[in-house]
Amino acid sequence: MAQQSTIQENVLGGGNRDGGNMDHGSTFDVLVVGGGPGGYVAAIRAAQLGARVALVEKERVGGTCLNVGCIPTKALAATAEVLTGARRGEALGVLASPTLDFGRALQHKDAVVAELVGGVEHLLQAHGVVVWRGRGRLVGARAVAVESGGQTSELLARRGVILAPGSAPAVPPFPVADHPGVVDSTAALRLPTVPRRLAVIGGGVIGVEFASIFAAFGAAVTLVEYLPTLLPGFDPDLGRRLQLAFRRRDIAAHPRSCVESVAVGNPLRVAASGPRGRFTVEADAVLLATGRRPAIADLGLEAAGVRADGGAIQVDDRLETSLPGVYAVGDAIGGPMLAHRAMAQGRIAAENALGADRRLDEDAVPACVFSTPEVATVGLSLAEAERRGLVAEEVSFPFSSNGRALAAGEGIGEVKVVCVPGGGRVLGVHVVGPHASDLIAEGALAVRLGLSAREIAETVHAHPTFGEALLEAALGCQGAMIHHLHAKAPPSMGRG
Amino acid sequence: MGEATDESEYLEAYLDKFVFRVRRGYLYTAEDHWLAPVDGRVRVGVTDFLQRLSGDVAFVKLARTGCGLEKGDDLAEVETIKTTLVVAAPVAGTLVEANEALTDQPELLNEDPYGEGWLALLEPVEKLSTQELLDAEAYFSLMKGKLAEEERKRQAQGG
Repeated sequence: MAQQSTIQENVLGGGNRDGGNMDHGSTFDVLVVGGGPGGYVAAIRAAQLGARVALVEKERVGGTCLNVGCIPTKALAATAEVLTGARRGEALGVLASPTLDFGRALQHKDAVVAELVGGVEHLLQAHGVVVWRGRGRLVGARAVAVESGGQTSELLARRGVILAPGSAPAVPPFPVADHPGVVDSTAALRLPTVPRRLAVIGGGVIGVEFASIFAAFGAAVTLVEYLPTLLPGFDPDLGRRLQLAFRRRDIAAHPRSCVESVAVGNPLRVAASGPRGRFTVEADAVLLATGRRPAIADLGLEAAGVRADGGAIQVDDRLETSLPGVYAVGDAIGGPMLAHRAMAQGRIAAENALGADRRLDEDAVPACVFSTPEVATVGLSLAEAERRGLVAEEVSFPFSSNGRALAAGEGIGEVKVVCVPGGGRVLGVHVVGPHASDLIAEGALAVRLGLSAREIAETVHAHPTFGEALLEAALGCQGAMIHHLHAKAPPSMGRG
Repeated sequence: MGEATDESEYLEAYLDKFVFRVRRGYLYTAEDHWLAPVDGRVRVGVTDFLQRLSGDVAFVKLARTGCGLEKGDDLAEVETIKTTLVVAAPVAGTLVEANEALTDQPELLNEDPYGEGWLALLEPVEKLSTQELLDAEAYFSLMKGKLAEEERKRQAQGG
């Protein structure tokens, strides 16, 4: 049987599966379609709960995140960080003129990806999850057809099906020439060399991260964004601080600008118009980062009765679709496209498919941007809080007043807390600056548990650390900020 | 402390090596705002005196475009190394346009406080009252008083 050999070649080892009781039949308790962070985590969770699980994957486990998303970009971001750190080192007494070996950077990226993909394959195998290679399609509430190499197999689920097909780059809303230098984020990870000039279209998370990385690699970067700030959807002060930091790194950002076309030539030409009129960006490579859309075509959704209005799979707050027993998680259901959200949803959907009744607190899901400086957010902005009818205020503390940040030569950015007035409940935390992606964990804990700013302020934070910036912002919520002044009148001049 | 009062665009006073300018033709408040009427609306900023005392501006935050402000409501936050200065709205009105150039060039507020470093364009609720606001000469006198106070403080500290 062709499918049998597919299993053999894709399941590592085989010797350490449970007692050699390898039933390669096609009936399982739970079927998972898609092996990205939503899918593989759902599969492992279901297996932990005692279910027999099959996971259908058309390319490589790990999905977008491990293969062409989070992980490879973080590997390149690490290279970029070493470069920017070394260049910033002069003020700290380190004299270095580092050069980039782009080929080695790509090798590091590929090695990390390979290791993690192998790691996920091993985890799946160790939990007894059977991985079927092929394209999965729903053919009923408890059945998935898997097509591979012209052959189709049908898998059955006794308890439930979890759909985690992920997302793909969206088609941009302007004409784009077909040219090897015009790339999406997936192809950008395989560019043969660092482009001398890079135009990035889209100032969201992906555009901003690639702009930051390739600027560190030596490209002259221009970023064009349609909305009024970079990182639309985030607290606007974060995008504005990032824009300022980018300008100081010679990354030219043009918000409120609309791209009209991308034309082939030598160089490539991006035609755009902004508040000061029309302009052209000449580039050796153009990155299209205009968003991603759920990849839900060819899943058999309509025929099976799974609703997907507006291009995303509809689910209730238990992550169940309109077809009972069929669940969906991750990028495919719309909302913030974050790997950790997909993972949390994967765990919840697995538990619900096996009889639990759990929900995800979407308000407490953080989002991070791995640019230099980093950006991170959790919970509500002040504007969002007010839209919900909440009385709230926001207080910021700048890293320029944080000792650790100054010592590290990284005194830019801020920590902002949105809370109920008077040191009350923390509704949101927004950070731009050093280690934002790690600092946000404390904010996520506070938002999820409904902690007050007062409770954060009364928790001793070690000194000198970046985390003290959150402490100070929390103190500020009670009007008790110590290490930065807020004044209505200018201070005295001081001496000279 | 010296001053120059010829017919140039600015009134000027000096303290140490610094010159403090007051632009002729604008209106002022005692809280160091300037206001320049523009086609029924008013452009608002902070004076040279205020930017000098505040120090190098690291970041500027402005109230949301379209929001209605009472006199005294927070219009802007000007972050410097020493302090975040909260600038109040000098008159009641709607914030029609914020100076977006300050996002990636906050130094404009230091370099050109009366020009490119403007903060916001307001649609005032009522016509500007020249009784409540100061003209350039009146603000200049007030500013010289503040500078004299500064000089006294420094001498008291043994500067």
